[in-house]
Amino acid sequence: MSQTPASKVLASRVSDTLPERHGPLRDLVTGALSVLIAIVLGASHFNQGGRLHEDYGAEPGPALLPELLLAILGTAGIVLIIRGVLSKISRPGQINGIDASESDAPNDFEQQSEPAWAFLVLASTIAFGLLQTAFGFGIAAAILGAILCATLAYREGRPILRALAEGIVVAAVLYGAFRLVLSVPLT
Amino acid sequence: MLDVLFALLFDPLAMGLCLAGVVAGLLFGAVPGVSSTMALAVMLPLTYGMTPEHAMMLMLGVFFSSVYAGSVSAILLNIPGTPGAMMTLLDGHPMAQQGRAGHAMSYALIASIVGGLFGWVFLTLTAPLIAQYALKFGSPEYAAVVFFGLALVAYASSGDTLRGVVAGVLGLMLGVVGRDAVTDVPRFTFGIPNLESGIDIIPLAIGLFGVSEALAAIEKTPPKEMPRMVRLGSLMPSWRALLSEAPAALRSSSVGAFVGAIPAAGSAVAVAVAYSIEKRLSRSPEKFGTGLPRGVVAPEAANNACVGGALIPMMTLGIPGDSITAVLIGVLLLHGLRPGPGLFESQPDFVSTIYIALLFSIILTAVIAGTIGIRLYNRVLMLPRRILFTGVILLCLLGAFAVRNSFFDVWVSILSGGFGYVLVRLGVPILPLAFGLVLGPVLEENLRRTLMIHKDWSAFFERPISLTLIMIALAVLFGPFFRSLIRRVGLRRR
Repeated sequence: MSQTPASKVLASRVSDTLPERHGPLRDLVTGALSVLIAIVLGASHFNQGGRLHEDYGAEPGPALLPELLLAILGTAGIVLIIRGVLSKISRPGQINGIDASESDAPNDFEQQSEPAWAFLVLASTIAFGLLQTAFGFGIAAAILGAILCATLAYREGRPILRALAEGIVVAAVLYGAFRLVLSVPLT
Repeated sequence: MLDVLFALLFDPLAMGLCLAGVVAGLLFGAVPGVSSTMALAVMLPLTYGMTPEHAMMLMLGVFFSSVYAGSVSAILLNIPGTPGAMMTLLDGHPMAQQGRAGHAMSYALIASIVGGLFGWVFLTLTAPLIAQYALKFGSPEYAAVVFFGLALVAYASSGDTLRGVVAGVLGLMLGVVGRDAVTDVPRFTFGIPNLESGIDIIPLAIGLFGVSEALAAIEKTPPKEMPRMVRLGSLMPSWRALLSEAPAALRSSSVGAFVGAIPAAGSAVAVAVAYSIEKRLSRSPEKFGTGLPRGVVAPEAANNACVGGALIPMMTLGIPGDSITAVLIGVLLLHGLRPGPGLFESQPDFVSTIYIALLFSIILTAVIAGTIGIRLYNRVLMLPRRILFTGVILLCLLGAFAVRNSFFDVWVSILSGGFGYVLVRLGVPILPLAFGLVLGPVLEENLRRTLMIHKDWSAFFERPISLTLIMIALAVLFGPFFRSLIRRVGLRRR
């Protein structure tokens, strides 16, 4: 029986038995990231002096849960790496017994994605964090609004100059609402 | 409850906030790419200066109406506004293509209201009973409930269980950042003074559900053409046609309320179950997917009945039913209230406020969407993406600052938004991360108390409730691994 697009998407949400695009690579990267986080936080935790590792008698102490979590995170990371490696080497053409070309085909629901644009927007947002210390919230918000709106307009094939103005207006309206209506002390 | 009802009814600010929440939810929920969770995350900082009662009136208004509004873009654009509207488009959009968009939207609205009311009745009847039972829980049971909730959310979230576990553990680790409540020892603070009081759930939720969802929407290639106005046709189907759908609406509502009450199961599961039940019961199942009103009624009734259901674990056990109730828990914590059975004992009037706020939200959604909403939606969907997402991101940053007037919170939102987006790209679900942060302190408190009183871990396995919950949680976590192992062995033998 053929699956409808929605039920295909839904099935992939509620079950982990269906193939997933780039699954082994994602496993490898997620696993490596988990192990790295566990090592960095573990080093910080075990090198911390003071009363963190003292014996608190009947009370298990503040180190118990962090150590349990570090162990689980590290183990889960290693299992993910092993799973990713095994999937890569055991069946290069297949994922979970299904042809990779089939699993790579975008379903009818998916739009094409270009993550570079999202990272550009994220970088602009981080720049906002730095700009607001130099110029204050209002100017930084206006600059961010203009950049975001112009970037998105460029993708939509719309006039950029108009979008710059629209972004500044959106920022001004929101800044005004927070500053004047909600009395938030924005600098 | 009647005194609370009248107090809120004659409080113009409370009613105004509920109305504003409903209007905001109807607008946000209808726009593709803006989920109900994002809508709540964006509105969350506005509740800071409000009383808890007023905050719940606003937030439940946004919650219920945005869940309904997800059906609008499903019907008019063939894009689900929220995950719960995924099945609605199968019959809703064909109805719109046949010139019956008005009928489809009316069926969706009426089914949503029936589902919402059913979920509300289910909530008001079952929540006090569960809370009464939960009051008997000791610390081993509480720790087991948290473990059970985290296991379910790791299993049921998109991606896979193991990646869900990683996200849940990362959330729990974020929950232990700061000074320990018992010994005052700092943990994972790296000498940063702002981290000593811990990571606040609100800027983190704004980042995870606002900024990262906006980034995930921005990466999608925009459609080449602007959506065109859809001819609505006549709005009201005949009374006879409406009444013939009543049994399906009630069946689907019961499915939605029940599934919604299971932590982490969520509306996406409820709508799929309700739709397939109706298809199976139908005398002409082949007509599903061609523009059948029942294909709109079933998922919409289930979807909105989930709202009442999802509030049950949040109110009675302090466990979020889904991502939306995780944000609602943030609202309660912001106002110094900890959800759980104790809320029923110490704040019975506030519990009544939640019931009444949800009821008002349902009624106002019916009135606003029924009178003006359906006619205006065509115009709402014309809102350019550039304006929408610029507004959402700026609102997130301003909102994060407004909570405590702290730039540190703005940085938390930006960084958690970026981290959440990277997790989305890696197929790691972000919902368990938020669950972990909310539930981390509860888990630690009860784990340590159990070990202090009972001296060892055996207490968890000697008490029937904690033992049952832990066994189910372990089955949920390790089940997929063993299932996959058995399948691989079977494939090799063949």
